[in-house]
Amino acid sequence: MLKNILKREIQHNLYSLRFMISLVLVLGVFIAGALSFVRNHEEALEKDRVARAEFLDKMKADAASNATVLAVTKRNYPLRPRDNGFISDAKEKYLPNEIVFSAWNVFSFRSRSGTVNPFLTKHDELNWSFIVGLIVSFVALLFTFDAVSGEKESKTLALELSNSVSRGTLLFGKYLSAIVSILFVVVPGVLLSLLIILVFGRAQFTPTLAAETAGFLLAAVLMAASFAAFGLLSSVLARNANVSLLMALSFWLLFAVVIPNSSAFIAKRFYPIESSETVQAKVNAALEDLSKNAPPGSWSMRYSNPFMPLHELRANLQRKRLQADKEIRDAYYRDMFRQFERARFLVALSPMADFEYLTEAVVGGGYLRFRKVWDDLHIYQEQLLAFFQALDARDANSPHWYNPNEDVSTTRKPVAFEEVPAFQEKPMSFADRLSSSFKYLIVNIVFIAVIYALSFLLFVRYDVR
Amino acid sequence: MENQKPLLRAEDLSKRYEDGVLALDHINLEVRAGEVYCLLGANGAGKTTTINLFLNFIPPTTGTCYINGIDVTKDPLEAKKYVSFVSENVMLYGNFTARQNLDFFAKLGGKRDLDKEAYYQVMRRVSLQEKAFEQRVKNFSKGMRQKLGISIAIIKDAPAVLLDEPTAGLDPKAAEEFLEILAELRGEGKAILMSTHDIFRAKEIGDRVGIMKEGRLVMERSREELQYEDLVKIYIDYMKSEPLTA
Repeated sequence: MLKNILKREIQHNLYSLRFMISLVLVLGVFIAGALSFVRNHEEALEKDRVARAEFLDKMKADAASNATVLAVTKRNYPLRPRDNGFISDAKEKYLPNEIVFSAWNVFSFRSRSGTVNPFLTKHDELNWSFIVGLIVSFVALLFTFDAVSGEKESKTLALELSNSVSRGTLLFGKYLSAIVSILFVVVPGVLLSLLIILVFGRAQFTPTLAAETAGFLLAAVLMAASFAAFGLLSSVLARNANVSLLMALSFWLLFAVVIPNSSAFIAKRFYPIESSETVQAKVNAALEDLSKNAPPGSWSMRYSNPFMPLHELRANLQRKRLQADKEIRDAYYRDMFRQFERARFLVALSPMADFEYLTEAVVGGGYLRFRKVWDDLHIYQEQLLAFFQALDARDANSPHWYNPNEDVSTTRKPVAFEEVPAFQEKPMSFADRLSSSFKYLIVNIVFIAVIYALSFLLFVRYDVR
Repeated sequence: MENQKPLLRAEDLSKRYEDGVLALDHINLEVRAGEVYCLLGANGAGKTTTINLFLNFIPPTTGTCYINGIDVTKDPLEAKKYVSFVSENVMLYGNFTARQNLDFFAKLGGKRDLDKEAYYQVMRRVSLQEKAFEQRVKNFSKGMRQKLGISIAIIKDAPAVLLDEPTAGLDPKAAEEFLEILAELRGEGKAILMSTHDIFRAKEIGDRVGIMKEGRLVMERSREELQYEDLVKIYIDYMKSEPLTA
């Protein structure tokens, strides 16, 4: 019975004008997105090559100068454009893409400039995630908003239920067929886009890419299932299809537009943190306090004489200042991360936001990637410091008074760049991606189950006449 | 016929809607195999409510509907195996052809092994034009859709048939053809319960005619009794009479 209903509903959807329009629209945007990625990604990679070369050249020059300069110089580590950015940009254009560090600290993060026109977005937006999120969520509603109310109007609902078919089977058949029909729109688009990108050599078809594509399709199915459930709910809440459509559009606006874009409001309202100005004021106060209370001579310096005794006081003060700055700022960053994570968990009540977070995990990008690089750079910074301190310890001409900011009282020997520990961003592991996506997967499934169950309960009582 | 078990039976059937309106007031009726029972009445008399109760679309306030002896409230899926339904002005699936519509509903009605020719035969039987078999239903006239609707009922081959105003809006020729098909179904032993406004056609086809007013079955006559009575006069007299609730 279910098979028969499924077959009819899928045929009904595939024959419909809404399917044709959706297919043409989605395929068109997928093709445009793929071609745009092919063009823009090479440009983004070239910019990255330049930034990375500058980063390494500066590091090499510092190493050739001396080990202390290598250790104390602040560097901006550039995050590379992801090769799987055509699946999802994970909103990385809004995220910091450079992390400032030295051997002594990971200081902060910032956004690298370099776009030709600052009013234009930094990356192309027509990635799979954008297309599916915006267009397919809408298409999902279109496939279900009149599943019940439309058939009530045409009296086919009564005709169907005059047979020995349960309402549960009928509703599930309509729901499942809508999801399958959406796949008829999404899968060709994804495959076509993938083909274009492979043909133009912008990606290699590796097991990782295959897994990412499969993960993306799973996330897309869940998102489509969520909005199809909203469509179904709209359909059983109304007696005619026009009212259902209005309800469905309202659901779409709320869950696809309003809630996903309210994370900043939610964060400020429910999880307030200090402003950056307040934090800077705290840092300034702490540094001023340390300077005031420092022993006399703590600011004395003579570059030509590393062993000048007052350099020890200077090094002590600089370390204390660094430590005070680090403690305040690190606490601030932790608050920022916590605020962001809490807000996004609340916003994940929207299937659209949930989909974004899932695809972010699938591609190993966005905030998850940033946090990984941030944490990995902290580990690297400690390795670099240990490397520097070992070098310094071997130098009899160094007084070993560690000053994190200046080249005054530690080794001045140059160092072979090849010996310096290198930092290489590692992509998120499959296990990390899976564990990051798990909670959003659960939220999404529970969400679908609740909306569908509500639709079912209403349909059981629905007046089919 | 009197000794046969009724295929459709309403027993003390009442329906009061949530807004307090009493749509059906303790109705009792039976339809046996090979019998056409016509329910006559004005709009709101309770004819469609009776059919909806038989189909378990709404629960009764009191009483029970039985199809082939099965309580439709207790076991609706089993009961519906024995009944076909034709509604007024059914639109069907416009982007499907006539055959595709028939195929879907046939399978829904449990007929899974029918071939194209079987569908064509049923559509020929209801005089649907041959060229329309593979045409999309969205371009069909109301008469064509009703013919297809009765095809759906025929192909299910259930022993009981419920028809809700099936000839409403049909031109006289189409309505006449429709009644011919009903007569054939009666000849095959189907129990047919039809709600209608059409007194003349009710008299023509009905083995029994019930007149409903304000939810009550106020009169019931057999075909034999109607040979000696003027159904039109009886109907108009009932409609003109004082409201039952007054």
